[in-house]
Order: sequence, then C-alpha cells, then structure tokens
Amino acid sequence: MKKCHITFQLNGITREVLVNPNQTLLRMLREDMGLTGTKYGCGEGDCGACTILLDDEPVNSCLILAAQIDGHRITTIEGLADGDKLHPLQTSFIEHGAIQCGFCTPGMLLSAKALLDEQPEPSELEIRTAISGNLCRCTGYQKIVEAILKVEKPACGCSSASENDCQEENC
Amino acid sequence: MKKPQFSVLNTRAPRVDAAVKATGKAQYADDLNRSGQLYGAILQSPVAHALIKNIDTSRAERLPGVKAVITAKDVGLTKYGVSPARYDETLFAHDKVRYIGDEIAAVAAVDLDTAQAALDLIRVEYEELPIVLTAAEALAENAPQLHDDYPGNINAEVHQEFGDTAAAFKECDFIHTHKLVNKRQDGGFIEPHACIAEYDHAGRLTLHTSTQVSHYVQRTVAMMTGIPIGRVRVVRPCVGGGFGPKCEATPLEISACFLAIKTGSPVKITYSREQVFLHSRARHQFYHEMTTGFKKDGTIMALAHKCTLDGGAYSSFGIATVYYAGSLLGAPYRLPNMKYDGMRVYTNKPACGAQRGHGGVAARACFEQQLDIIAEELKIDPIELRMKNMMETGDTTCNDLNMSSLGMRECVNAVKKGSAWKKKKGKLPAGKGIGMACGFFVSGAGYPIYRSDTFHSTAEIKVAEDGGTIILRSGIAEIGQGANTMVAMIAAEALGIPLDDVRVDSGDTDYSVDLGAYSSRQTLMSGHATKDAAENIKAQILEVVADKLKMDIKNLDIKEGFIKVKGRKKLDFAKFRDYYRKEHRGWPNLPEGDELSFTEAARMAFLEKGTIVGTGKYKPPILGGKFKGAAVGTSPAYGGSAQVVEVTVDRDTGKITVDAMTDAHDCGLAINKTMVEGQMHGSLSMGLGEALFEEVKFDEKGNLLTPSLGEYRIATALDMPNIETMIIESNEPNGPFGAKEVGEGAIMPTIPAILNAVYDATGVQITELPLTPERVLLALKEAEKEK
Amino acid sequence: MILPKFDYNAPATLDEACQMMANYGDRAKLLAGGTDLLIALKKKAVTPTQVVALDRVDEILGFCADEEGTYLGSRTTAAEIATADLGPAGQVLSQAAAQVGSPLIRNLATIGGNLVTAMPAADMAPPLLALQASVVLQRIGDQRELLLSDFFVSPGEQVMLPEEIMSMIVLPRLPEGCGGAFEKLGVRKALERSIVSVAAVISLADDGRTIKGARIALGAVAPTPMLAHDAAASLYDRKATPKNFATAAKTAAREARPRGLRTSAVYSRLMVEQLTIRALTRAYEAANL
Repeated sequence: MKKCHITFQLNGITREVLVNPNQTLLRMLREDMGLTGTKYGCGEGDCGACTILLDDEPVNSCLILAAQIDGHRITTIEGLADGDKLHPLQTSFIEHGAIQCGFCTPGMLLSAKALLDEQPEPSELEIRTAISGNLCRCTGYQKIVEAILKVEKPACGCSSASENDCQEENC
Repeated sequence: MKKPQFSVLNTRAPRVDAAVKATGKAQYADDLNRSGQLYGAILQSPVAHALIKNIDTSRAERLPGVKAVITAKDVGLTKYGVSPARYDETLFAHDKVRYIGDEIAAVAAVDLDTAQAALDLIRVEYEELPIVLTAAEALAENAPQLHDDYPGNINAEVHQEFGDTAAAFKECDFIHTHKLVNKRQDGGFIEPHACIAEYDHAGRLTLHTSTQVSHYVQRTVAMMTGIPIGRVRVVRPCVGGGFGPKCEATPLEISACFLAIKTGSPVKITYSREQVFLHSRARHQFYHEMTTGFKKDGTIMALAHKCTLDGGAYSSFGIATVYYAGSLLGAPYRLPNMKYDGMRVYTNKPACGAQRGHGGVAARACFEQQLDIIAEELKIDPIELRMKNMMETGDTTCNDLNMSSLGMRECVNAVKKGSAWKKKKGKLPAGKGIGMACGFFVSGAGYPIYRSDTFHSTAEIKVAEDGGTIILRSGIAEIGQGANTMVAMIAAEALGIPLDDVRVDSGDTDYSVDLGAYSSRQTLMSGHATKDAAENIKAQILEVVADKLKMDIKNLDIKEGFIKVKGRKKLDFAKFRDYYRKEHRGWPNLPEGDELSFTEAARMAFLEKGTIVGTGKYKPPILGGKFKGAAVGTSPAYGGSAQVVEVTVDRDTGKITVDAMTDAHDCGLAINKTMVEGQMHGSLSMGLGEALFEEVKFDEKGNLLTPSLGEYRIATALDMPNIETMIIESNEPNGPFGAKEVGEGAIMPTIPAILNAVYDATGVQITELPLTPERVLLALKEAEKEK
Repeated sequence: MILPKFDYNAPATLDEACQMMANYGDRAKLLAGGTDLLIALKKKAVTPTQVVALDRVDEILGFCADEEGTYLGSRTTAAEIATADLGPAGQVLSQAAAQVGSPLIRNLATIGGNLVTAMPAADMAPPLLALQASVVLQRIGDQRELLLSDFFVSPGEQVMLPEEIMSMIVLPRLPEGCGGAFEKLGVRKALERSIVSVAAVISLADDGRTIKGARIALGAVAPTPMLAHDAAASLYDRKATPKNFATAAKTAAREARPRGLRTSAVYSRLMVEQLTIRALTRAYEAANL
C-alpha cells in the first residue's frame, strides 16, 4: 500500500502529509494531526459528528479518504475561533444553552457557519434543514436553532468573525 | 411560599463547560492518547446461542504487532453485572454464547488494523443451539435455556399487591383492560463507549472511560481484576451522552483493564457504532396489560397490572426495571389498590438495561393512553379526569412513595393554558389532534445498587490558598446534563461567592464517592453533598474572621463574594487589608471598598489554619415500605411533568408530524433555568423518537437489522417541532434549596401525549409502538373496514 | 472502521482514468462522492486493490444545456442539482436531489454515483427515468450511450463493464408544456432512504388539459428503479383530472414489485398509489405554469 503525499490547507495553514490510502480524513485529523475536535459518532455518514468544511462546504469527514483532500481547504472546529476571539456562533451557542454533552457541537457549529456564510438571515426552516444531517440526542435541537437564529450579526452585515476577512470599515 | 432571593441559583448562567465544548477542546475518552498505547479489539460471537467447544488463539498471538490475547482462561470466571444478587455474566464466554455480540476474547496490538486482523485469526468452534428471540418463545415449554440458574428463562419475577384489588373491582362502575407494547430501544448517544486503561508497575490501575458511574465501574473493575480497590482509579472525561446504557461497567472497560495489566502498556478501546448497538443495555421491550377500575364519576379505584419484559441475554439493570415498571404507577394519581405481576425473560439478544425513565416509560404510556379511553367512555375531559384524581403534596401512594412536593396540578394547568387546550380540544380540523398526559419520576433511587450504608454522594471543596476561588472535587458524573454547572452553582450559592470563582473537577473516583448519573439523582443528592461541603467551608472561614476581627459569628454571612455583617458593630478589617495589600504589592485589582472580600477572608483563614478543605455528604433517609422490592421506586422526592402535544396525521400515508409540544415540569427549584429547559427538550425528543421512529430489529437468526444510526432512527432537527417549556417550582423540602429532578421525569408524558393526540386526530387507538407510517396507515384501514 | 488496503490513484483526465480502469478491471473501484463506496469499504463488502478517484477529472463536472438537451457531468453533486433551475419538468430531478440523505451527504454524493451503485431506492433514478435520461459510458477508445431504462439489472447491479466510467447523463429536451414532480416517503424528514418514491413527468397538449404523454417512475418498490409503463400509458389522450390520476395511480401500484423488505408489500403498493396521485397532480401544476 503506497502512501500518498498530500498538500492541503488546514485551518488556514498549508500542511504536507504522507497518508495511507485507506485512511479516512476523519482518522487523519484525529490521529495524525492531533485535532480531536472532529468526532467519530458512527463512521457511516448517519450522524454528522465528523462534519468539517471542505472548501467551505460541510461534509462528513468519515466518508472522505485523506488522500482526496490534496489541493483543498479544510476547516475544522479548531479553526472556527480567531485566536482568543470566539466566532459569533460559538458565543451564541454558549449564551443560549445550545450545548449539553457537546459531542455534536463541533459539527453543528460548522454546518451553521456554512449556512450563515451563504445566507446571513436564514429562516427557521432553513436552519433546521442545514443541521438536519447533524444528530443531537441531548437538546432536542431547540436551543441550537435559537442560537443560530439569534446569533449576533456584525454591524456591516458580514458573517465573518475575523477583522481581517471583512473589508468594511465598521466591521 | 415565596421563593427566596438567590444570588446564583435560578438564573440562566452559561454552563461552566460550554466554552471548552464549543471550541473542540473538550476531551472525550477517544480523544485521549498515551505514549506507547496499544489498541484493543474484542471478539464477539457471530451466533446467537451456542456451546463453545474450543477457542484457539495461537495464530492471533503469533501475529506481529499483537501484544496480548485474552480469553476466559486468562481473566477467570468471576461473575459480574449490575445488581450483585443477579450477577450472571462473565467477562468472556467460556462454555456458551448467548447472543450475537457476546464477548469471547480481546486483543491488544500496536495499531487498530493489527488488532482487528488478530480477531480474524482466533478460531472458535461453536455447537449451535436453538434460539429464542421473543419472550413468548423463551417462556414456551421445552424452550432452550439460556442460564442454568434461571429455569424457564425467567430472570426475575415480581408479584406485589397493595390494598385489595379484587374487592375494589367489585365496587367499580367501569373496568377497562388495555394493552400496549413498545419496542426495544437504544440510548442513541452520539459518542460511542470508549476507554483507555493504564496499569503502572507499582500495581495501580487507572481507567479513563465514557461512563455515567465511575464508582460502580471502579468497584466492578476491582472485583474482576482482583486489584485492591484502593489502587483502582476510574476517571470520567467529557462524556457525549449516556441516557442509561452507560450506567454499568462494560466488557470494553474490563477488557481494556485486563489487557493493560497483561501488557504493561496503556490500552485504548472504542466501540464502533455497531458495537454500541450490540452492547445495548438500553430500553427493554415491555408488554403491558392494565386492568383499571373506576367509579362513574371518574375516581380511580384499582389497577391490576401485568407486564412481561424481553430482557435479552443477561440481567444488567433488569431487576430494577421490572420493579419500576410497576412501582412508578403508584403516583401521581390517587390509586388505593394496585396489583402488579411482572416478569423479565431472557432471550438470545443483547441485554437490556436502564434508559431515560427506566421501566416507567412504557408503563406510563399504557396507563395514560388508558386514562384517555376511560375519559372518553365516561364523557369527562381528559384533563379533568386527571385533576380529579391527582394527589396532593404530602400524600403517600399505596406502595409507600411519599410526595413530599408535588406540583402536578400546576404543571397540568400550565400546559392546559400554554397550549390553548380549551380552544383546540375537539375543535381541530380533520387530521389534526391534540393530546395530553402526565408523568413523574424519582429524584434518585432511595438505595444504592449494592447493599450498603454508603453515602450516596460525597464532595470535597478546597479553598485556594490565595485568590478567593474554590475547587470542588467530586465523583459526580457530568454527562451533558449540566451536573458540573449545577454543583458549581450550588456551591457558589451556599458559600456566597460568584459562580466564576468556582472550579469543578469531577468524575474521578480519587475525589469522592458519588453513585453517578442515573435515576435522576444528582441535583438532589449530589447537590445536597455539595451544599453541605460549601456550608462547611463557609463556617470554617467565618470562624476565623469572627475570631480575628472579634465579631459574633452569628452576625456574619458571605454573599456575592463579600462578608456581610448584621447588627450595629462594623467589621474592622483595615489592618488586614493593609497587610493583604502589602503582601500583594504590585498586583493589579487589589481589594478596595468598605466590605471585606471573600478573597481576603479566605486568605485570612489560610494564614490562620493552613489549607481550608471542607467535605459534604448525603444519604437519603430510610424510605419506603418493608415489602419485597420496596426499595425500587423509593426516593426522597419526585419530579412531575405534564405535556400537551399537537399532531397532524396524513391519513393517506399514515405519516405523523408533531406540530407542537408544550411541557411543564416541576423540578422543585430550577438551579439553572436554561439547563432545566434543555433537559426537558432532550427528554421530549427522545420520547418523540421512541413514539414515532425508534426500533431495534433482529432477523430470525438474531442478527441486528438496525446496527446503524441510519437504520435506528432518532429525531433530526426537521422532525422536532418547537417546544414550549414551563418550569414549575414546588419547593421540595428534601431537596437542596428546594430542587429535585428533571432529567427523566420529562420524558414520561411524551409517548402517551402523542398517542392520545393521534387518537384525537384519527379516532383510531394504536397500541403498538413505534407509530411508523405503515403501522398507522394499516390501523386506519383496519378501522375503516370495521365500520 | 478499518478499510481494506488498496492503492490510491488520482487521474487528471477522463482518458487517464479509463486507461487505469482498463488496466485494473475488476480489481479497481471508482471513487466519486464516496458516500456509498466508503461505507462498502468499511463493511468489507468490497475489497478492491486499487481505488481510482475521480476528484481531479474536471471534464465530468458541471452541467450545461442546448437545444437538444441538458447534459449533466456524472460528478455533479446532489447539492448542485438541488439548487439548479432545470425547468418545470427538470425540477423533478432537483426535488429528488434536495431530499437525498442530508445536506452533508448532498455536498458529496454525485448523480453518477447514485446511478452506478444501483440501489433500488436511489433517489435520483426515478426522476431520470421519468425524464427519459440516457447515460454515457466511457472506456478507453470507446463510448456508448444507453437509455437509463436499460441500465439497471438487479439490486446493486447494472450493465457497466468493469473498465467503464459513467461520464455524463443526458436529458433530452422536452417539448413545451411539460411539468415534473417528485414525491418521497420516508419515516423521518431527513437522512432517509426512501420507503417509496415516485417521479412523474407530464406533457400537456396546447389546451393545457389533455395529456400528450406521461412518464411515471417508481423507486424502492422493485429490485431496480422502474417505469410504470401501463400507468403512464393510461393517461395518453386523457384529461388531467383527479379521477384519471387516481386510476393511473392504482395501475402504478399494481405494476410495482415490492419485496416487502423495509415495509410490507401491501403498504408499499398503497404508497405507490398515494404518491403517484400527488406527483401527477404537482407535475400537472408545474406543466401549466
């Protein structure tokens, strides 16, 4: 089994890794990159605990081979906050009680971020649809939906947490 | 009674562990790694019932990278389980296997691939035996027997009578018999079981594991491995949900321990999702038959209740389950006569155990569905029927359960109003229905699982030598419900300091004994122990302040981080403040103002006495009756819930949509309102899933047909409606600050409220769960034919 | 959760991919979205020694249309199709794509993969059958196009040779006055494999009421996705009325061949009937827009 040499962006930083062809992206993140925020819940794409952003789109990392991310951009939960500044979604989740056991939280946050980046003012139905691939057994989704609905939007209307991303003056 | 003013309690304080979970930094068992760790894998039986003729591990042992292979001959045949009187499992099967998934061997290797490959090299010779897959099959004459010690495949049998049901039935105007059957469920927690065991060469064993019960796991591991319990430490990292199935020591944990001992290396094992389903220890299948007698004015007179539980291959929590199925019907309605005959049966399937609401959920569903049938028959509104029979605070049930506080009326009124029941009942358009139900649950079991006088919860609080913070160390189980935040808030309130100054470290058996997260006990029991410890600290510190500053301790208090003084004499602490400022010369944020800060007082106490440590403890008083099984159902307090659900039933497909849920729960006092609501939401979503989608299925050979979260369907965000929750606070005298449970009481009314709403929408009573579209449609068609 | 060992190949062009498949034959599996293959690998249902990933083959991405039809690259994801404007008839396909699994799955799952895996409940198959789709199968030096209705053989099996790669799905341009709709029945509202699905496309005459042509395709009620020919035929030259839709729906229910695996055959047939009525009704509304 010949290892694959892959180069990719991980949370904004270029990484170069040798991976086994039969290793999933999920396992690579957890075992080789030391990023355990992305979780194994089922391994079959049924629960969403392994959600990451692949070129800004939320996907199940348990269904992707590590070798496939060569040349792509990956965002994990560890890349959501900007240094010590939490992403507005993280703050909203904390404030609205959207986190209980926390196991679905990384995946939920990334699915929610992808939604807000596309659609900054989603309806409740759009929110529920966006997180419909992320199972939660603790919260009944109630406070998660509230947290996403009531997330604080930056004054300029962008959904960026980082001052560097948005070019608006009053962001 | 007017609610007292709290500084910390009864707020919406953010959880103490929310930030670490929001950033992906929270460490769950599978996130833990140790240098030199090995990976474990477990060999499980592919057949449901068979004699083991031979186990040959030699090829597996020789595989490069394999460090240990263990079977029954290596670990012994010590029996374990949950209730000591019914220990009926060995770690590894040695003479026979009893279900597909029964453990036979375990392997530790340098990586997971090698461990899995080693499993494939273990040769086991089976002589297959006939299997029983239903309770009926298991009870049939000449059925194959699973356990020699349990003839007839009867794991437990309960026969109880309170009052005189036969006599009472004679007085009844109306007697109705009702049946309901549910299906075997799964906990559905998103984090599979995982653990890492380490054994040092000085003879100490440490196990980090995703568990609800560090204490019980510690005892079981000590018993099984023979390592003295004082050298066994179980640590609970962040847990991704428990809901019951993580309430007992698992073969995963015990295998990892044995492998760690044998190899001298850390051993990490995680269940796959399929293995979680194979392990189960989740909700039983219950067959309920209830014969209830009423007066024509709606007064409930008697209940004769028969129940059969399909328990799977081992006891697990089963003895408690079969008792709870009966005992939890003693309330919240006055029921002077109750007869209960319950039986738990062995079958060749994974063992069932405790799951949110335990044995009470299906029983409550059957009873509450029946109440609506009675209400219709007697032409009484379902809410009125319930209110008419509702117990009051102070009442005791026929089976000796005392309602020290009971906010059930308030709950019912709240959901009646909140759901606009009067406007909707009987007035909804075709295909839409509204239904309600009540339920209640214990705030902690009155007795531990093993016969003991042990305290149910103990806690230790250490005051930082400098800085005014405290660290609370306890064995409690934070599994997502918010236990760490709850005890932090109680400690902060009882001591009188801000929540931010409390740090909690929990789940480690080195810290203290706490029985764990089950039977919805921690708010009441662990809360009490914490309050006790905090008050102890407060007394110690105020004693020093009183002594040093020449005050009467009776006039001193601590609130919001400051020493408060009653009476005319002022606190003269200028000298100490001066000393403190000198001691911390150059530091920012030094204390100022005209009140002595807790930070200073704590420093004063340290300088006088050294490290200040306080301990607390709690054990419920002797509760309940003296009859057999009285222990199960006893509790210092009971949480109660009422719920109204609205549904739409698509008559052409049978598909049910739950449009609205309104729930009111009496938790005595909400320590944290957001967390109480969260528990209600979670309970309702599990109840909805069990009512509509969830079912564990097997094929005719005993193979799981639903070993995935794709096949075993829990509610998604699109399946849940918005839930309106109302918190009722009845101020429980036996609870810390008046608090009692919420985690399991709120699920009780959910399934029957849905059943009753579906009946309201369709006129058809469905008495088998789950209400899949197919089941509903075929029931509707059947009813049409009968017309 | 361990996958079998294999070598990973990432060809840059379709030709390169075809060359590899010609070399490896049935020792290789093609990887597109991975939502089916990764699971099959984890369950050891397949044990290829080579995996040929199509991630870099951009020729089979994206879609376009001309006077003759719409051409969907086989790597087009369910998410892309769900939000595409495929017209009043083509919406039968976007509606199906929007209900595949979950948003996460839809970002990975490809239309080609959905067809090649050939599951009886494949959501995008009935709409494509209703749209008279054909598939283009490429192999080294050769290419063939065949109707999707000739593509499926049995659960998990279709007519492709080991060295073939599906490159494109062709939707012939339909006349004016066509409308399509898709109905899916699952237990939950997301993450569901269909219990029953129905795709209907209707073509109306100029009077806006007479049905010139219809195609009704059923999913999950036979060993393969299937067309309900008799049901569709029963609508030719008939008026689009609830009564005629109901009759066609009953015929469709009779044509279905459910195996009674997930739900009973009785229920499956009843649902074919129900969903066919709903699909026809909505297809008619779409045709009239």
